[in-house]
Amino acid sequence: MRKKFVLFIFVPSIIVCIVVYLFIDSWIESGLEYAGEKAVGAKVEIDHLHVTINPIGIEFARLQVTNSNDGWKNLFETGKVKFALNFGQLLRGKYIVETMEMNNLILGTKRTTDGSIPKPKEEKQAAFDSTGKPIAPLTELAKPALAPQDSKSSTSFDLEKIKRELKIDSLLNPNNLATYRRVDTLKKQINDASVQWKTTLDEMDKSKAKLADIESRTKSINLNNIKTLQAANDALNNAKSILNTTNEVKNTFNAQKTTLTDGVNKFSGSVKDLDDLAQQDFKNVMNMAHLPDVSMKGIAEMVLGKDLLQKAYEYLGYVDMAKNKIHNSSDKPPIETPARFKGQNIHFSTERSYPKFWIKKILISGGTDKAQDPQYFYAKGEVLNITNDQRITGYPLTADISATKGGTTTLTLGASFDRRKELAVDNYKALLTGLPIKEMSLGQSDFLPSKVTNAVADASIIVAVPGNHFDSSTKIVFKDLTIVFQREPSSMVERIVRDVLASIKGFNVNLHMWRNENKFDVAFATDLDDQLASRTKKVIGDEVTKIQNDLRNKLNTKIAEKRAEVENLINGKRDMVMNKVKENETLVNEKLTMVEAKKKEIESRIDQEKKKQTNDVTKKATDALKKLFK
Amino acid sequence: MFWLKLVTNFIKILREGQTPAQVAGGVALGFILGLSPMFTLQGVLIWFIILVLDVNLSAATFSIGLFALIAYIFDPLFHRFGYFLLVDINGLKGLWTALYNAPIAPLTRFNNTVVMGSFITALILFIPVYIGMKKFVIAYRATIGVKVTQWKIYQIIDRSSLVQWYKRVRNLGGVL
Repeated sequence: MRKKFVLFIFVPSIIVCIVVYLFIDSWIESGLEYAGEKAVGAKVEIDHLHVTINPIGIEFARLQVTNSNDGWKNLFETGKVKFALNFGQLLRGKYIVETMEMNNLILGTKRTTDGSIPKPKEEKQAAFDSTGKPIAPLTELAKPALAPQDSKSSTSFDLEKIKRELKIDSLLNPNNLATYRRVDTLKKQINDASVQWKTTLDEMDKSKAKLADIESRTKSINLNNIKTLQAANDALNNAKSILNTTNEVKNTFNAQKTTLTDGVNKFSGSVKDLDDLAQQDFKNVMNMAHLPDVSMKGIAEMVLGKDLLQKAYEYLGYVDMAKNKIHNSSDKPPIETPARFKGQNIHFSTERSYPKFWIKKILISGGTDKAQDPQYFYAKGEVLNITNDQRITGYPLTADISATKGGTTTLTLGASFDRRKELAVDNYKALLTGLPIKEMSLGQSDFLPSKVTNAVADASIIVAVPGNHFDSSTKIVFKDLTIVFQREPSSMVERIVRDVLASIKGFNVNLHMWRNENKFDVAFATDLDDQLASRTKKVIGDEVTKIQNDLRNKLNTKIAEKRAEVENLINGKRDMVMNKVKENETLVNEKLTMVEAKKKEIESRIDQEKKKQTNDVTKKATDALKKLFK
Repeated sequence: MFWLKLVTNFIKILREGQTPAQVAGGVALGFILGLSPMFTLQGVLIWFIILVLDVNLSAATFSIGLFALIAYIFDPLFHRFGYFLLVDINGLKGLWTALYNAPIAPLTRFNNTVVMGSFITALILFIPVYIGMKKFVIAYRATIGVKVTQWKIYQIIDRSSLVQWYKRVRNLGGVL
C-alpha cells in the first residue's frame, strides 16, 4: 500500500470531479452535436445544454438541424428540449427516455451561417435483399424517370412543314419494314423446308415397291387351290403376315404424313403472324413521320412536370435516408473492419429487456406564440418509439405531426417505420392544404417557358415502402392560379397549350411512382390532357388523320403485295405435298383393304372346310349306326 | 523531450531505487492499461490499483505509452479475437447477455471487440509480463546494465549532441 494513499487517490479524484463538473455540459453538447452531424450529414447545433442530476437528464435551450441539401436552411429547429434518463438503465449503459418535451418546433427556418459540412468519404454500403442481390437506392433508380425534362423534344404541329418534309418512299422503304424482312425469311425457310419435304416424299414413294409386293403376295393366295383344312390354315397365316407388313407400311406412312402436314401448317401459321408485324410497321412509320399525336399525351407532363418531378426526386432522398438510417441491431453481426481503437460493438439484447437506446415519446409543441413568423411551419404532435432495436421494444417508430404556417397552410404528416420483422415496412401519409405558391416554373427552356404565380395548392401524398418495393400516389390540386408566359408562342403546339393554360384557373395532377424489383416507373396524369387534346383535335385533328390514313393505305398495299409472294409459295408447296400424300394414302388404303378382304375370304373358307368335315363325320357315323341296326 | 525523460527515468529505475517487484508491478499494470485503447470502467479500476498499491509510477507510465503503441499495431488482431469471443463462441453468449443486461457491467464496454480482445490478452499475459519484468530488472541490475553501457550504440547515443544538450538543460533545473 502506498504511504501517501490519500494524496494519490483523493486529490486526483477531486480534481477530476471538478473538471467533469465544469466541462460535462460542453462535452455532452459536443458529443450530441457530433453524433447528430454524423447521422444527418450537416451541422447540428445545440445551445446552452445543461445536465440535471435529479432526475438525471438533459435540457437545452435550442436545437438546430441543418438541411443537408441546403446549408442555409434548417431542416427544423426547436425551442427548449428537456428529457430525463432512466437511471437504472443508465447504469446498464442504456439510454432510455420516457418522455422528451420538445417546444416550438419550426420547420425549414433560415440560417444565419452555412450549416453544410464537407461530406466524408464514406464507402458506399450496398444494401442487399433477402436473396442476397444488391439493391440500388431509390434515388438512383428514379433518376432517369424524374430527372429534369428539358431534353424532351416537343412535337412539331406545323402541318405544311410536315407535309413538305414527309418522304413517303423513304418511310416505306422495304429495308425499314419488318414485314418485308419476315416475308423474305419465311420464303427462304419454306424453300429450305421443301427440300426436306421432298426427301420425305421420296421415302414415301419407296414404299410403293413394298405395296406392289404386298399386292402380288395377296393375289398369289388362290382359294381354289385350298382343298384341305391344313392348306386353309397355312393360307390364313400367310394372309396375316401380309397384313402385318401392310400395317407397318401404313404406320410409316402416317408418321411421314404427320411430319409433312405439321411442317406445312407451321408456315401457314407464320403467314398469319404477319398481321401483327404489319401493325408494328405502321407504328414505326408513324414514329418516323413525326406526326403529332392528336391526343397530346405527354404534353401536359412536359409543361407541368419539371418542378413537380424535381421535388418528388428530392423527397425520394428522404425516403431512402429513413430506410437506411433506421435499422435493428443484431447479436450476430458480420465482422466489420473498424478504425483503429474503435472496435465493433456487439449487442446482446433479450426479450422484455431494454434496447441500447429508446425514446418512448417525444411530445412536440409548436408553441403558443401569437407572433409566429408566417413564413415557417410550426409543428406539434408526437413521435413514438425511437430505438435502435424495434424487435426488443415491439413497437414501430411512428410520427404524427401537424403543422401550420401563417394561419392558412396546414400540414398533417403521419409516418411509421416498422423494423420488427425481417421485411422493413415504411408508410407515409401527408396532407397539405392551402399552400401558397408564389412562383413555380412551367414548360421548358425551349417550350413555352412560363411561371405560375400566386396559386394555392392542396396535396395529398401516400407512400408505402414494403421491403425493396415502393409505391406512392400524389394528388395535387392547383387553384386560383395566374400564369405568366415568358415569350410569345413559337409553334402551333405552344399556341394551343398557351391558349388552354391561359383559360384555366386551376388543374389537378396525379403522380404515381412505383418500384418493382429494380425498375422504377412514373405515371403522370392531369386533367389538362383532355382539354389539350380536344383543343388540338379542333385545330389540326382532321389534317393529321388524313395524312395518317394515306400512309396506312400505302403501307397496307405494299405489305399485301409482299405477303402474296409468300402465300403463293406456301400454297403451291402445300398443294404439291398434300396431293402426293393423298395419292400415297389411297394406295396404302387400297392394299390394306385388299389384304383384309383376302384374310376374310380365307377365314370363311376355313369355316366351310370345318363344317364340311363335321358333316362328313356325322354322315359316316349315321351310316355306321344304320348298318348296325339293320 | 517528454519521451526522452521517460526513457531516462525508466533506465534509472532499472538501475536503482524501488524493488524489482514494484517496477515489474508498475510495468504489468501499465501493460493492461496500455493495451486497452479506450476509457473504460476497468481502466479506472486499474488506475486506482496503480495509485493504491506502491508500484512504480514511472514504470507504469512508461509501460502505458509503450504498450499503447504496440496495441495500435496489434489492434486488428485484438478486434478479431474479441469478435471470436463475443460472437463465435456460443457457450459464452449467455454470460455476455447477462452481463449486457446487468447494471454497471456494460460500462466496462466489454461488448466492444477491441476492448474485449485486448483486455483478455492483457489478463492472460499479465503474470508472464510481471515475472519476466521482475527477472529482467534483477538481471539488469546485476549484469546487463554494465554491459549495456559498454555497447557502442549506447556510447554513441550518450555522446550525441541531443543527449548532451538534454543533460545540460536537465542539470540547469537541478533534477537527477
